Amino acid sequence: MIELRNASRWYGEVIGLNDVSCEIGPGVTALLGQNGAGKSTLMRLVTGQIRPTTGDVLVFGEDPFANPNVFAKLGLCPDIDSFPEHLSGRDFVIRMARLMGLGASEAKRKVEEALVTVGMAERAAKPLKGYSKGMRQRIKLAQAMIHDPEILLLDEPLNGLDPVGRREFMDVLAGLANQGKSIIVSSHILFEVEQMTRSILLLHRGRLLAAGDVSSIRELIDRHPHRIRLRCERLRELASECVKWPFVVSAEIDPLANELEVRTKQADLFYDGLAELAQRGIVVTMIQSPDNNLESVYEYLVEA
Amino acid sequence: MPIASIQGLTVRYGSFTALSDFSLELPEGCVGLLGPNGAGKTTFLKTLLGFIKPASGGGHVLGFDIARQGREIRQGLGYMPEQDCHIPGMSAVSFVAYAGELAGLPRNQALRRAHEVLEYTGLGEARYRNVDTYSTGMRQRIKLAQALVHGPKLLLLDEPTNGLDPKGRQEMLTLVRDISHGKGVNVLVCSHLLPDIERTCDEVVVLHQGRLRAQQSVTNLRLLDGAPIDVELREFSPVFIHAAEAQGLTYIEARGHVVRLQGRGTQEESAAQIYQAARSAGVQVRGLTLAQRSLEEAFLEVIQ
Amino acid sequence: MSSPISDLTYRGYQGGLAPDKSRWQVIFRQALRMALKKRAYWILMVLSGAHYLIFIAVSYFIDSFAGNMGGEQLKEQFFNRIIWRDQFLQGFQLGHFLLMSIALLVGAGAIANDNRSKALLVYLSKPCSKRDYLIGKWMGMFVPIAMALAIPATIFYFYGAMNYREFGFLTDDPWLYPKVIGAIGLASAFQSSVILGISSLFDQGRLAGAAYAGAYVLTGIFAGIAQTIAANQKLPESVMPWVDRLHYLSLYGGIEGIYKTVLQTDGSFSFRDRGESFLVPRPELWLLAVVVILPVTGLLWAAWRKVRAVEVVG
Repeated sequence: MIELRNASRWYGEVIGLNDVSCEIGPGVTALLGQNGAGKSTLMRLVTGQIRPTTGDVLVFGEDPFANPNVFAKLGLCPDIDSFPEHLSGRDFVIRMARLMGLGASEAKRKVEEALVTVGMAERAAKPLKGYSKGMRQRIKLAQAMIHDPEILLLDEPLNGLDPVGRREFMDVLAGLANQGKSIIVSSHILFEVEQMTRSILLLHRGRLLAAGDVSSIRELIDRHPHRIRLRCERLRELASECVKWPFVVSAEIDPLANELEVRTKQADLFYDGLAELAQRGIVVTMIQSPDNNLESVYEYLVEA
Repeated sequence: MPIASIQGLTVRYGSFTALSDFSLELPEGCVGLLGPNGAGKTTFLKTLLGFIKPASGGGHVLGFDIARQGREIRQGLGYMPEQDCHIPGMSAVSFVAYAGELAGLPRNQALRRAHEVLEYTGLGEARYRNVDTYSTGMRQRIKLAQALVHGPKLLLLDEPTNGLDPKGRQEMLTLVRDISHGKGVNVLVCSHLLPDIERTCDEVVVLHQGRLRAQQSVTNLRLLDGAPIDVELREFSPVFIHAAEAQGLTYIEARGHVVRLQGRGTQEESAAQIYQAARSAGVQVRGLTLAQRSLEEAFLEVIQ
Repeated sequence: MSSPISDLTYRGYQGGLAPDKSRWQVIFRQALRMALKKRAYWILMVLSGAHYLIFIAVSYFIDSFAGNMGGEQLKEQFFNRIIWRDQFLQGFQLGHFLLMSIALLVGAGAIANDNRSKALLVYLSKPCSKRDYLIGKWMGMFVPIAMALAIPATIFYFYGAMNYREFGFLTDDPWLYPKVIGAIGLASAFQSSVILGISSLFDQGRLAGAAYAGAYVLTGIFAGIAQTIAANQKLPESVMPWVDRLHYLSLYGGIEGIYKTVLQTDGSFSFRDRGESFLVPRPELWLLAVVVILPVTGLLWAAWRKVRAVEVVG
């Protein structure tokens, strides 16, 4: 749905995005990166607010810059938090709908639908100034999806939400993703991202560092052998068996936790080896791989 | 001796009751304060700071009465606010030293302490720079430094990782963990990001609708009945579930390629049975852990 | 015996504490340090002493002219016309706009900038009360403003005491210096209170500054216009005191009223006599009290309401 071909963008001499090529399809995709990594630049390129300096950005095969055809299929939920505070949530969304060119009655109908989707239908009559962070985010989402866009872009949508609000908001997003929409979410809180999706785009200093599924990305990081923590009744025996295998880089006993930490280049063979040992009576009672999560993948990629 | 003990505290703002008949003994160590928006967390923090005139009930913080001895309480307490705050036009050192003087340290001592805590919070050479030029991560650190400068016995941290990127968050959590273990400082962490609490705190307090809903150790809160085991497979296989049941294990649920099973005997026996089942089903076991709820699940359960 | 390796990470503070009562002094010292560090403060102070400089220059010129070219008569004439206590009033009148700028410079941001950067969270979460905060901030304004008025006046006083004794500088009014200092103290206190209140109402120093400058200039202009219009109406003699009173219905008027009342003068002209009709007699005490006490209490009350410990969290 979205395609970037060698897209670069510079602000004067400041780097925004540097030679990024990728495709974004349906489902939830997380846009990760530190502050200034180029997340907002990418969002602005896709929404046609700016033009790439070099390269192309295509949304449904068209250039999104100042292109109403594309805008009709895009919904943006920016991270700024300023509203006309005296309006009610419903009035605000209706005004946004009218701005999009919908007629009065149609606007009302569509807004009602959108409010139901984000779970704000009953609460939208109160003025915005009394809303909690979660309610504000939902209203922002509602205004972004009145026209039922194919692509939704959300900039830091979970910031400041409490756990209940966050869970509810994620459920809303998951529901939309199941309808086949493309949802791009930027965030720098990794565990939130992990709950939403395994599909990531990792930007670092303006360049695309990794794109795809977290587990498959992890598999490809060779410089950092997988760490695997094991617990076993016969811990030292297990350790001496492990070090015999050629693909084990190191094995270290943690006397405090009474655990063995193994580092291996080929996790697959290692797990098979453990099954062999179980046959011989050395049964592992705990296997944990602290590396197989987004946080360590992020750390390995960004800090290497 | 508890750090704070509150008995039957009721706080009203006009007709709104923020805390009703609230009792709590805050233990030493690192405690997490959880609750959705509007649960009364803010009011509770204000109470600890000695700002609240209770409608009924009362309590003590660090042995001082909350209604009458606010000043004495704040002498022994450090507060790191959620919002970004500093005093304009000052370098980090003079800002923190000033904060120390406000807390009653003599000028020279304040300056010495300022250097000490800035060193500890990792501000290094940047400490001579004007705070106005600081990045988000540095501002978080300086907020922590100004809360520590007078050597408080109780530290209140309100959303300490707010706005930090993954690396900064990691470093901040390490600091919080360090300060609350073996340094003679008791810490109360208030955060919407439950993994932060999970990493730093030994115990959590859950507030909901102005009442205390739970006070437990993190480990207990996460424990599941009957200690089931989560088995991570390379790919999901229904054959494995049958095989496991044939081995005498009870199937509970499967999420992705993680299968939750309930064993009958010891952990080692269950593990042996799991390996047996995996062998007969021809699947690879990649993870084997005692099933736990995430703190988030536990939290959502408590408040519902 | 302690361990040969010491733990340099974090430790608590065991040292002594300053007494509770001194917290406002910390805030005061900091504010004073910030004010005195500004170069503009010193420049404005020198410029605000323009009247004294001009007076010294003119009198020096006349003095040496008289000595060399026999202008004894001119010298007599000049110095006999001078009313010494009025020099201090004129010093203020000529430099009042610059003095207002100094007040803005040291005062406008005092609370407003703290509001913007949420510094109250730092102040009030420490063992430091709202009273400490406001007293500290007030003193941090009062002292630099008073200094800016007092330093040029004091220098002029000592210059006068050394050079103009023969023309009655010391004998005309032996209590002149205490009166000058008293007038300066009251005037600075008035200004500090007004600015403190205005500053607390804004969350940007610039806006607070603009508001104070606006209030100062506009009340001055309105009072001036009202007075001029009234004076040109050929009103009956009995109404004339009321026309004069209009002059004091401004911030400037309040300060000038303080000066005139404490120095016990209606003012005079030193260099160019524009005539009695341009001199406004000093205000009655009740009028001065209304003009000064109303804004001060109103604005201090506003500051007291606006700075709130309970809002520190959340």
